[in-house]
Amino acid sequence: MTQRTRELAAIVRTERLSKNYGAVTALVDVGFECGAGEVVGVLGLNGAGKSTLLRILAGELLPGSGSVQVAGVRLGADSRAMRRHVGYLPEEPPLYREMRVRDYLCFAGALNGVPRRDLAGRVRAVADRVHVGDHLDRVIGELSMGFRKRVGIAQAILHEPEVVLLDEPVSSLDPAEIVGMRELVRSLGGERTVFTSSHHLREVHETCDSILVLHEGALIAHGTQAELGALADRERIEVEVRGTLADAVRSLPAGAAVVATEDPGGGVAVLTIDLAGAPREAVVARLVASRLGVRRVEPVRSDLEGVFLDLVSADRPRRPGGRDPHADRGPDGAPTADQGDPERLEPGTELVRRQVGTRARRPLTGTGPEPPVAGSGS
Amino acid sequence: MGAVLLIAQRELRAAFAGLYGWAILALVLMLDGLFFNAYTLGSQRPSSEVLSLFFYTNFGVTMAAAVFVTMRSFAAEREQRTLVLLLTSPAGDWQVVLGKFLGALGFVLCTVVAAAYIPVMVYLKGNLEWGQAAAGYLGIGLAAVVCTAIGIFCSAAAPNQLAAGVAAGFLVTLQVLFWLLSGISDPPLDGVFAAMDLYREHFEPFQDGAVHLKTLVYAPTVAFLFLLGAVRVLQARRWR
Repeated sequence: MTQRTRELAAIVRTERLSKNYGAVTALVDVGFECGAGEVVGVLGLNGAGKSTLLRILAGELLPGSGSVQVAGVRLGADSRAMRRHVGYLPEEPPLYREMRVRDYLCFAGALNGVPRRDLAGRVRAVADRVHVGDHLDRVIGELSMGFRKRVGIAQAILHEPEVVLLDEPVSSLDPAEIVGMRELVRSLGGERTVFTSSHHLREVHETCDSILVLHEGALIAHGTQAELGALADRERIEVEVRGTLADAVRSLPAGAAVVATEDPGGGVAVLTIDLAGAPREAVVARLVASRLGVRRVEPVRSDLEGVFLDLVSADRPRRPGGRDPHADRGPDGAPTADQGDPERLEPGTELVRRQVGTRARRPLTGTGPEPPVAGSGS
Repeated sequence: MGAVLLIAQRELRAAFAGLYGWAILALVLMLDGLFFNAYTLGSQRPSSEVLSLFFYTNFGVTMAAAVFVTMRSFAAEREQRTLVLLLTSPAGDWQVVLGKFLGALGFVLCTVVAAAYIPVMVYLKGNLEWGQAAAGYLGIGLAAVVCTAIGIFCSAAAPNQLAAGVAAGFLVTLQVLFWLLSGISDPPLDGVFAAMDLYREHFEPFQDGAVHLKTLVYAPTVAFLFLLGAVRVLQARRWR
């Protein structure tokens, strides 16, 4: 839960949400809470489960297990009532191309329970808000993709839902339309909770208050951009040493993983080191003790793209607010026995540990053991 | 009920908004006119026989119209990805299915009404029996209810429009061929098949002016079962 969510009442809550398409797992034990008025970005690679998550939140699909609550109404117990609180724009806007924009919006509004007496006024107001007010009498099939997306958003907010779900709202849009859509999505926040999935990290960066990162169906991170960014900043350093690359790698303490190397020549080696398993001081001390000339030590600052790629390719989870990854280590940097006990993990950690365990890659490390999975908080 | 009527109204408008609906209507009128011309014009048949023949041909044409209209119902929406609008609205699955059904049925009945110029001609040039006409149209209406419900079920279950049309065509044809199965079956199955036959058991008497109570029960029951099947298909897709 993000700081802002803690301050606001949770309007969307999922617990251990799972969904399979036959033998294919789409979501695994996804649990999170989002507060009213938040703009939440849903990030993930293709097939990560973004659309499935939004389709479940929209009430189009039912989860295989777990629970979903929107505005206090539980999906499954009263799905129809829950759907009243949600507006949904799929990646392909659900538009009847033969209809005029006005007729379509009237139909969508009435279908979602807008009283007949309010319909005309509501359609006009929403159309103006999404900048299709001048196109109300045009046939939808004649509109550009940008306008179709806008009409799709209009139908999603016409009945004034508390939660608006936008699946890839900027896909297929030209740059000018993307800018307009970004402003529109941003403007929807505050008054209602908005979930927007996107492959465009810049969109998420510029429009979202918090981010859900899905990978292979699992929620691997949830937090504000600052929280995610700070996490990444804390964990990696770039070191320039005088000596060979092999000597430098050999001299690293246990748990310090080399994630990138560079050989600029002149007897100098540059290493990017993941500090999840070893404090920065220990790394530098070992390098110095190995009589390697340490010329430069800099934290690697990651933008959202770096954080995202780091998260989805990591050998271990990183969640804001999680435990200190070094807290359970012994004095030599080796994992303690407690770390192997799932019972000691905080809620939500077990899943991440399992996920990571199935795709773990052994990183290029020093002589020490492979860094264990770090625990994380919810 | 508001959502049902809303969806039905949109379905009906959509049918007439494009070429497809008008093409079906034109085809229905053409076939009705051709059959009327081939079987009755120029013959010296009595008015009741002419009317009976009209209902006979109109029955087949209406069945075909129901198949062609309903094959688009859910399948086309799924292909065009507009079904999600209905499935994520507060309308229940029953309301969606019922709205689709009533919209398609409304269009099928429009084709029936459009072909009513033939009984009018019988009235103007012959001796129309109002009772026979009423019974015949009641029979057509009940057959339309059954065939439309079958088509809605197939459209909900099939992966695309073509498959929906083929499946609906097969099931509707099966409905009028149960008498063949009845002929080659032993008791008690022969009686069961005979009772399920849409044409001989449940429509033929109507075209000659006789209203059978069993058909008034049969048609809504069969329609209900197929619509229930369509609802179950929608619900199953939410779980898939």
